[in-house]
Amino acid sequence: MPDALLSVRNRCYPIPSTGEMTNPMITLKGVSKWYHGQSRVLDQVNLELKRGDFLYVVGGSGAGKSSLLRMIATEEAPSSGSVSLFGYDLLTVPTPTLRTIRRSLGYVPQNIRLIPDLSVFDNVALSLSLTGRGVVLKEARARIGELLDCLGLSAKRDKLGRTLSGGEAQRVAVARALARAPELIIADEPTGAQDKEYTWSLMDLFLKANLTGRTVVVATHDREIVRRVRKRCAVLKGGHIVVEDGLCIY
Amino acid sequence: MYLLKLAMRPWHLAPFSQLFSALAVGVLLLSVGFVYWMERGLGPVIHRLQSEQVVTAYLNPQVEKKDESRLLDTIRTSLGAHAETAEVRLVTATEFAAEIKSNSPELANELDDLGAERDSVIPRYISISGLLAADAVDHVKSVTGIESAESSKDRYHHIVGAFTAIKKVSRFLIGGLILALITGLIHLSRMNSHLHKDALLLLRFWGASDWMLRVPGILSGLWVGLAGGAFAAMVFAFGGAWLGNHVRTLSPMLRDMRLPGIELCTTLLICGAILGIMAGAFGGLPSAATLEERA
Repeated sequence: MPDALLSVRNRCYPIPSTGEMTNPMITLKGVSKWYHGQSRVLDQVNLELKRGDFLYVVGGSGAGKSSLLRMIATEEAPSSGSVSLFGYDLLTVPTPTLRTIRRSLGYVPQNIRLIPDLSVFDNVALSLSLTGRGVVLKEARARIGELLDCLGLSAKRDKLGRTLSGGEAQRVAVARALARAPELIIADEPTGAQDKEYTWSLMDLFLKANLTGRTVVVATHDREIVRRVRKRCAVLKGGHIVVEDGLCIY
Repeated sequence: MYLLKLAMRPWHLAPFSQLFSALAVGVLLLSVGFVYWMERGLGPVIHRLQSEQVVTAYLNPQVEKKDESRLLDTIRTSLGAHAETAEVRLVTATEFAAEIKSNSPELANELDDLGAERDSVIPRYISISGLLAADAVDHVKSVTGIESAESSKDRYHHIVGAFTAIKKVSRFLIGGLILALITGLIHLSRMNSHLHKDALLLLRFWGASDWMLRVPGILSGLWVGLAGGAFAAMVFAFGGAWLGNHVRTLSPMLRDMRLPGIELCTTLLICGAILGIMAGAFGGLPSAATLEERA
């Protein structure tokens, strides 16, 4: 990891640490995915991530990165195979447990999905209020304030979601995911609409989240990020996945 | 707090739908209020028409004049609690002739022509009028000195039947109007939940429980119900007396109907709020945001 990346924004991660890092966090077994009338997007994908892992998901456009992340984020079900989070098979897990799992996720979807009529602060706070962990209001306000500050959104905290630019909305989506202090962070192209400065700010936050014990899965097509911040890398090509531990070539 | 803000979203997204729905709820509640007032108001009217009667008790010719006042007291006693409100009086031949003079002067003249015989032709009788028990005539008949007695208690039976039918239809109408209200509000609630489906899906995705997901729907249903209830309550608060007086002038029989009061206004307001909450709870269920196959 570039030294500059950590030294410049060292104080910029207001999220408490997570617990132990032992059990498998994500397990995909023989996962295939196809949509109605289309060929297989994913074909017999196997993947295992432990607590505290950091994984890039890379691949060309239409390689199935978003489909994979949506399945891990409990948003979609696999067409075949099984996806397990925290040891629970998502297809058979009881609804209350699924709810608890979802409260432990911080998901940054590719299409952002801010609530347009709520302010930036409210968008983040609403997400935080649903974690079921009883975060004190004062602490929550401080955490959100600091995150927005980290992401250069302090001046926009009272602006409505619909008035933001694509890049700002994307950063709010990251703040919304991280404010929940999730155990698993799933980010689908979180830097796609960012300039260089904010790209590294966002990556910095993901790395710090990872350093505090969180599992992070980032889908990206930005080769520079993958090259400069070397981590495990899952390359998707032709519906198949290859996990590289070192240099990621795709 | 944030759920409250979400509950206000439909007012931003589709303000006219909310406004006209509230107005429609208000008009329907107004109709419910009017029909309810009729239904409740006809109760005392029917009771009076059923209870109000005139019992005519003919005295036995052997009863002497000096025993007449004792007989009146005995009859009053036989009426029990109703004696306080009932009018009990002895009608002599002279009084009878005087009473019929205005309506049937020829008959009165013929009776006068009878001279001394008139008192033997016209029987003495005791007139008992007012709100009496259904079996009052039987009690009066059992009094010693009363030869026979008859009651007018069934003279309004056709009117009582009509009013009873109106009461039953009113209840049916109230049920129907409430059904229409709930259905309309549920549809509105469903529309609202689809309007901000994006937010509800996110809430579910973030781990909100089913009840938490219903809260915005319940609150937005509550606003519309309250707004409609407030409209109906205001109309009754300012126009209830005017309406009630006009209805009561339709017939003297309706004089016992009470004017719509503040309790009706309060009931309509509460009714609007409760219906809104119910509709929000039942209709505000958003589309499932669970895994597609699980849904």
